[in-house]
Amino acid sequence: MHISDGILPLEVTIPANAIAITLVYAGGKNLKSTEIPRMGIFAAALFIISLINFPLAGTSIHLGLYGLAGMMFGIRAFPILFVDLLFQCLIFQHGGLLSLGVNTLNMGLGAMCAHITWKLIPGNKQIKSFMCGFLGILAPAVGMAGLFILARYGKGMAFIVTMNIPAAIIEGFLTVFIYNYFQKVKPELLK
Amino acid sequence: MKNTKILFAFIFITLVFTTMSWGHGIKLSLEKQSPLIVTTATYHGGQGLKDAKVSVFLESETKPFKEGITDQNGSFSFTPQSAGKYRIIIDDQTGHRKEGTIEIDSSFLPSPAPQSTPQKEIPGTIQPGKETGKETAPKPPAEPVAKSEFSGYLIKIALGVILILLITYIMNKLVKKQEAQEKK
Repeated sequence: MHISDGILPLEVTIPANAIAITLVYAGGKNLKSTEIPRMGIFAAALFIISLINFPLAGTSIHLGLYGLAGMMFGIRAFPILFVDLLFQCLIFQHGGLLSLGVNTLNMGLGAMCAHITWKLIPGNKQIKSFMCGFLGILAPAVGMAGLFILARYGKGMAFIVTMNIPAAIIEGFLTVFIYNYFQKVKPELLK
Repeated sequence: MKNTKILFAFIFITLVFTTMSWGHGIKLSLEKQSPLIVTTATYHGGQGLKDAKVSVFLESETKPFKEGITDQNGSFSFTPQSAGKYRIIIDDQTGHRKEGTIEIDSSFLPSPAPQSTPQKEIPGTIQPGKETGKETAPKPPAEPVAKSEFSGYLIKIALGVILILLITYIMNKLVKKQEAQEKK
C-alpha cells in the first residue's frame, strides 16, 4: 500500500507533497486539546497494524484501519496518516520520504471515502462500517493503480486492485468488529 | 517551563537522529555455494558494504577462523574446514555491525582429496569452475539472521510508538498552553 521512493516520477511526487502538506495543515487546524490524545493513540495503533505487510510490485498489501480513521476523525485523519507514514518510512523503510505526499493522499482518499460513506449514506450501521473498512483499503489501491498507470507503467498495474480485495474484505470485518466493540464500551467514539 | 521545552526538543532531535542511523541498518545474507560460504552484507537501501572487516569464528572459539575484507558488492567468501556452527561478524568501522551464524554439516564439506589446495579468499564472485561443478547445494537464507532481526523489529516498533506518543504529548502541551492564553 505504500509506494517506495523512485517509483513515481518527480512531476507526480512534488505536487502531491504540496497538496498533502496543505491537507495536513487543514486537518490540524483549530485542534482542541481534548482531541489530541485520541488521535495520538489511534496513530500508534495504525502504525503497528500497517507493519504486518506483504511486499508487492513496489508497494505492499496490508491492513491499515484507514476506514476507521475516516469514520472517527474525518479530515483530522490527514495529520495522523502523515505522522504514521513518516515514521514508517524513517524506521522501517516502508514507503519513502519523497513519496510521502503521494502515500498520504492515497491513504487519505480511503479515509475520506469512509468518512463520506459514514456521514452521508443512511442505512444499517453494521453494513456501513463494513463498507467503510472495505473502501478504506480499496480506494487507496485504486488511487495507487491510477498513479502507476499515470506514470506509464501500463494498464496491467490494475491487478493491484484485485490483489487488495482480500485485504479490503478482512479490513471490513475488522472494522465491524471494532465498531461493535466501541458501541459496547464507549458509544460516543463513533456516532 | 522554558527548560522543559528545550529538554523535549533535545529528546526529540536525538530520537530522530537515532532513527535515521537505524534506518541505515545492514542486511546480511549467508549462502552455501558448495564448497564456499558466500556472505553478502548490504545496507537496507541495497548498496553493498564495501571494505568492511569480516571475521569468521568457529563455534565459540575466540580466535577468528578467518579474517578479511569485503569487496565492492559487500561480498566475502570462505571455505569451511570442518563441520560446526560458524559465526560471521561484519563491521564497516563506522558503527555498522552485523552478526550472523550458519550451520555446516559434514555432508557440505568438500571430499578430503582437494583439501591440500590452500583455502582461497575470493572476494566477490565465486570461481566459475567450482560453481558449475556442484550446484546441488541448498541455498536457504540463514534462519538465525532472521531471528536476530526479529528483536530489532520489536525495538523499532516500540521506538515508533514512543515517538508518536511523544509527539502527541508535545502537541497536547502546546495546544493547552494556547487555549489558556486565549482564555485570558
